[in-house]
Amino acid sequence: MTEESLAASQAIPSVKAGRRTFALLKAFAAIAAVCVLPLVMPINIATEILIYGMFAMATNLLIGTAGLFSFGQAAFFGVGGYAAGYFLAHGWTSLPLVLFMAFASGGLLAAMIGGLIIRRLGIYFMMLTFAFNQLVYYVIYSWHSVTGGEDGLAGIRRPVLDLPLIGSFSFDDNRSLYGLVCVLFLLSIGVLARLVQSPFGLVLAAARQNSRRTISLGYHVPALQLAAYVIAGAVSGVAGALFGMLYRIMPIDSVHWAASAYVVFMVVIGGQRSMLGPVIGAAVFIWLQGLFSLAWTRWPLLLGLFVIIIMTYLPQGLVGLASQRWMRAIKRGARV
Amino acid sequence: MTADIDGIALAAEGLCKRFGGNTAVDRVSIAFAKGRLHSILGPNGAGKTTLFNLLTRDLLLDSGTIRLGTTDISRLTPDRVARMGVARSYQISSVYPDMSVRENVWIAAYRARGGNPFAFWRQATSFPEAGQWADTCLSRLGLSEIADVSVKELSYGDQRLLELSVTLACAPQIILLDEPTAGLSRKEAERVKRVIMSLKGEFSIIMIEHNVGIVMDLSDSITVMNRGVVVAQGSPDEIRGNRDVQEAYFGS
Repeated sequence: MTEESLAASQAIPSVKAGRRTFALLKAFAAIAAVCVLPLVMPINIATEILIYGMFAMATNLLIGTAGLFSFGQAAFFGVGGYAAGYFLAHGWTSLPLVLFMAFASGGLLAAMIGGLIIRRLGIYFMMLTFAFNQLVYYVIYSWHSVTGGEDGLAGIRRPVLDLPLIGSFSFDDNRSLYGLVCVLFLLSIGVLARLVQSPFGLVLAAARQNSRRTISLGYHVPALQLAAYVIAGAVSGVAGALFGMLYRIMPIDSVHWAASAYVVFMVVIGGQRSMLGPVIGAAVFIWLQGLFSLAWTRWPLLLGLFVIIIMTYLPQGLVGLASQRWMRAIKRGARV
Repeated sequence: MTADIDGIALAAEGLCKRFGGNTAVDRVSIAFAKGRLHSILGPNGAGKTTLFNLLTRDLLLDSGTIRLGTTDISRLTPDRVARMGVARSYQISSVYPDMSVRENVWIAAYRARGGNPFAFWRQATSFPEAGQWADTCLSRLGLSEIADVSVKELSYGDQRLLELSVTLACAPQIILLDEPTAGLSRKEAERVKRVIMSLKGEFSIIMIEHNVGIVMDLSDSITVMNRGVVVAQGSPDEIRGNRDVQEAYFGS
């Protein structure tokens, strides 16, 4: 099951129908899941899962589709969060304004960093994303007057949505904030899924599999990769802004490179080859983090062990395993 | 070569490329006539593939100039050169393993039909020109029946044919083929030979090939290289009778 497959005109009909059913099921499951989520767990955790789900989906545009292993995505999550947070803490609480600031600052920073490093390949690219992440971290750490330094940016207020005629709508209540996060989360799924299936997404996927060949077909691959990098940065910035709104503080840890590693783990746990994979990965990761931290103070050890097991035995992640089983069941059904 | 400039598809003058202390291509001047099939022969390490990589700008030149028609392309990027009508196949199959046969060809066809790679919001299927052109290129190489097969499941021979089909889908004027029959069975090589025969005249073709039989049968002219330099140039008959070539190529 690849998200990036063209509609095959001569595919086996039952398999094709199965695929369509599967896609529809996934869409319904996504909407149902975001509705049910707050019923089965504290609403803060549910909100956090959707925020990190957004962050992980954006990261997976780079890892899964473009094959760009970025270990510095927390820089964009953090900068989006700090930018929006700064406005919210200083009395500018208009929702469109802060969301735009988060989107633009994440995208702009990604354009600057990406412009410098996108032509580097493999391990060099990876190390540079990491290095720039730390650079951003230390800038935020030292710029105490604006960012709050190591204490984090505190005093973030929840935004207000002013609608003409209807009146203004505040997100002080955690349930209304969850609603906002749901809308942005589903919007991100829709936009990113469409992107991956567009010619842009297909050519990116081609460049992941063989960059040199894709260039020799006449595509300016670095420009396409830079566009993906900027889009991922912008979406991550919005996720960061929502995180700051949720806890009313932007902690310095959120820009640390460890946060970049965590989001890569989420992608790996869930699976890179589908849109929902990273979201499931985010949910499992956050759930396990809570579980392990209750059980043992050295919980990161258990988490690390879990990631190692997934990478060794399920290279396509949890969703990869599930869709493999599903396709096998459909084929068996078609044969009978 | 004294052919007039109008008849030249691609020409190089004084090409040099060094890797460390080793000169892979040493002051090579060569011209390829329009609509002809020009082969490059030579033992391993003669610099043939390096020459290809210089011509398509995959590698940077140390010195020399390359002209596509009358345009100097010595400083252009490889994707730019590709968009100007130079397509190539690689020695090692360069197909996309996670895609179907049709998708592989579609990627080339989309660009060739003027599709915008930054079309974020368009469905890939909503650009029928690319799909139709891809199907045309598939059927030309007899791959229509396996269009929906995943590339991972293809035989090596079919992968080579797919690579040719992708190269055709670029809608090029000049095609560079790097050992199109390498690693193929005699039967598969025969099939590839027939395909190349059918492309002759329609495109300017430059081919690196070790199978001397195929080279002699297909070529209009042949350049022989050894240790980075051109040893001989001429028609198949001239090359067959050339002493130096026999020494360089057969080592006797």
